[in-house]
Parts: sequence; structure tokens; C-alpha cells
Amino acid sequence: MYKPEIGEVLTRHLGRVAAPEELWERIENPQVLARVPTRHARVRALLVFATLFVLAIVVHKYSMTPHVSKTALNTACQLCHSGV
Amino acid sequence: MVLDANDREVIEACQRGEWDAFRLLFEAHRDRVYSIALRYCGDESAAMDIAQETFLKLLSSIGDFRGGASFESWLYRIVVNRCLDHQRRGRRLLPFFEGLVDLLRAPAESALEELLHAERTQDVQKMVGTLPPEQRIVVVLRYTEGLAYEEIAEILGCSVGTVASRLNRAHKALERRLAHFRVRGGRRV
Repeated sequence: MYKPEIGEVLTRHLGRVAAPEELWERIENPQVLARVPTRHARVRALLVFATLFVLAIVVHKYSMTPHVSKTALNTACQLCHSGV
Repeated sequence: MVLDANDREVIEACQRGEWDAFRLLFEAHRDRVYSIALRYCGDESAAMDIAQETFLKLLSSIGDFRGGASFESWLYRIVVNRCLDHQRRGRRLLPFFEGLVDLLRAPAESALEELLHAERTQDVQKMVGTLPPEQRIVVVLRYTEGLAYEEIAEILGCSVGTVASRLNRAHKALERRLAHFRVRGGRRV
């Protein structure tokens, strides 16, 4: 059984609030006023930015790694194994 | 939730396309619509979007409203549908990242009493935000609007028993989370 206290807490903190004045402006001009980015949209943008940043670091690290062709590697192996 | 003669006149004027009448209707219900949206989604920008969509839907479909029914119930149904649509459109992000954003946005000093109250309200709002949509909307209609079980059942198109059951589950879940919150935070909400 839940305690009646939770009802009191919800009544105290979930009451009505006044709507912002700009709501009417948004209804009068729905096509003019662009949507304000929601918190979710902002967080999503932050996540996309973080992903791109990590990706950029990985690509940069990869490009800094010296690349040796297979033929060159084979030659190096043969030289070592032949005792030269 | 029965219309009086003045309300009927205003609605009929809206149905005839009178903009001033729509403004009157908007003024009468703006706080109600915005509050439901805000308490349901917990985000001011999203609540503005939902309230805007609700009134635009009201404007476009007021011709369909039949005087015999309750206007408030009809309006509640529109805002509830907008809230649920919003929920479907925008998937919830990981609570960790939401918490991180809150942490970055939190004021350095929160000793002021008014800030504390706002903070507590935000905590309760967050707890409500973790409920499944069908329980959350019942909680909002019950505690933001103070509606009776029968009225909520009519708006949601379900039985009174279903409303009672959802509210009971929501209460239990919130009671558990509230207890956990108190133990962790050591403060009274």
C-alpha cells in the first residue's frame, strides 16, 4: 500500500503554472516562429558533436601511424630471417 | 465540467471563425493546457510546442465540437494526445546525459529558499518523468488538474478501474523512488 503522503507531495509540486506570454504570439504566427530547440534536441546535438570529435581524433591518430606496404614488410622479414 | 451560456457563445463564435472569440478561449485555458504539457514532459520548450500544437489543433477542429459534450474533456483529449505524440516522437535520452546537462546548468549556490523549492519541484517532476506514459498522464490529470477518476477515464477512453490501477502503480513507484531519493539526498521533498 502506498502512503497518502505521496499524494500530498504530488499536489504540492505538480500544481498549475502560468503559461508564458509568447504562447499567443506562437499561435498567431505559427509559420513565422521557429521552434525553440528542446532540451532533448540540445543534448542530442551535444552527443553528435562528441561522437564527431572522437571520430576526428581516431582518424587523426590513424593518419599519424606510418604505413608500410606488404612488399616492404616481406622484404624486411626476409632480410632478418636470412641473417643479413 | 458543463458549459455555461457564455462559454457556449464563445465556442459558437469560434466555430464561425471569429478570432477575438478564439483569443477569449485561449485566455481561459492557456494555463491549464501549458501546465499539463509541462508536468507531463518536464521541459519548458517542449511544453510550449505541445501547447502551441494543442491550440492550433483546437482552432482547426473546433467546428467538429458538438455542444452536447463537455468542452473541457474535449480539450483535455487534444492536449493528452499531443503529449503522447510528443513522447512517441522524441525518445528519451540516457538519464546520465540529462543529469550531466543539469549538473552543468545547476547554479553554484542554491541556498536560497525559493531556489530550493524550485529544485524540489524539479526533483518531483523528474521522478514523475520516469513513469511510463500511461501512468504519467494519469498522475498529471489527477494532481495538476485535480480531476476525478471518472473524468480521467472519460478523457483517456478507459475504465475507472484502469485509472485507479494506473494511479496505484504510479503511487507505489513514486513512493519507492521518493524514499530512495530521501536516503540519498537526505532532504525533505
